[in-house]
Amino acid sequence: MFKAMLEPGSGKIERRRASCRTLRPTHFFSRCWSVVVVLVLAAGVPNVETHAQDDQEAAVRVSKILHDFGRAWNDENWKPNYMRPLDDAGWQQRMTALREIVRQGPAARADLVQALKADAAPVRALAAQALGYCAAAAAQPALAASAEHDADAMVRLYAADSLGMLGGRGFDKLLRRLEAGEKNRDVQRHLRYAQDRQGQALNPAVTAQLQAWKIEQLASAALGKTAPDFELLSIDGRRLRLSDYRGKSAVVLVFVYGDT
Amino acid sequence: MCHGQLAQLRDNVKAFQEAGAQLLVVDPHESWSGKRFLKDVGFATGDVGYPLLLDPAQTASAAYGVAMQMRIHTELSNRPASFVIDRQGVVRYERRGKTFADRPTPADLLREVRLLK
Repeated sequence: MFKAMLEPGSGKIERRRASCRTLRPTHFFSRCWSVVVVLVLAAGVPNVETHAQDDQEAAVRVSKILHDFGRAWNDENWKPNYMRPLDDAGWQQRMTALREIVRQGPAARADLVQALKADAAPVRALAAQALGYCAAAAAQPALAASAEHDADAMVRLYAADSLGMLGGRGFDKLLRRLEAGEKNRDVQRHLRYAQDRQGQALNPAVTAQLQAWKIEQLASAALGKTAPDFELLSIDGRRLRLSDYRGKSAVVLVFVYGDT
Repeated sequence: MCHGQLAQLRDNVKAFQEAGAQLLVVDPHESWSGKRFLKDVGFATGDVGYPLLLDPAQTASAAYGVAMQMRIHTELSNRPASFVIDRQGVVRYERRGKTFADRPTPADLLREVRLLK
């Protein structure tokens, strides 16, 4: 049923797989996504029936999100362009879908694992990415299979990232082997990054931040308007808020180009 | 992360301060990879001279309309962007790059900061 839901438009995406593989690798630095493992520790005695119902509801939501996402990411915004047009809304759909799925937490796992086999490459890529944030180690074998066998380089890349983000050293040997055999330089790099983590899982605070984020903030920065506030950790561990500077100093805010 | 850009900004930290602005730089990496990258390009963590903020959840990046928009390395990444925010917290200048190299120079940004006065 799930596969059928993902059918619309999938033929187009199928044709595009070849061009995705031929993306020219560049020598610019690339980095992996950071990922997170959320460990839900149920306190007390779990009510199995309620959990099963919650999981079912979460699964329905995740299926719908992936389905809508697969339809929205049509031919136009899946071109292997260097950069998509500035007025393209594709990234907003992607960010929104990712955040909605990640909010479901580990309950999203089964559907995401199934979506790794969807016909539409963007759906497989999103599922691979989301698993790194909201699944447990149980998703790793499925991600390993995608990292090894998916026809689309972007899916292999996100599968490699998420495999690393979920932590542990159980897949080091596979990652090493895939890195040696991978033809796409970018995917090869990310297979390397996954090993460079040395088993370190994504900090759960990253997932929590994505889950707590208010979608109304999306693309809310505008000339003449109050700058959207944020609180981030600096690389040396300081917690800074943009609004700390209000009334004290102007701020030059620079987002460095970074592939994640 | 671009070493050239980080160094260029570092060299202008004082000029920004003298013009009345605090420089904040946002990078979308996790802390372990951000630190390793800095090391790879020859910076010690404390070397950059401005707060290098990490946004691995991409929530700040998304609020500023720059998250997951470049298709390089077959993946989706942030595009470079710069904003100048006045003392009252209002956005007075914005530039969202169209390519990885499309960004204002520190001199451009300094000019915008001075225009605030």
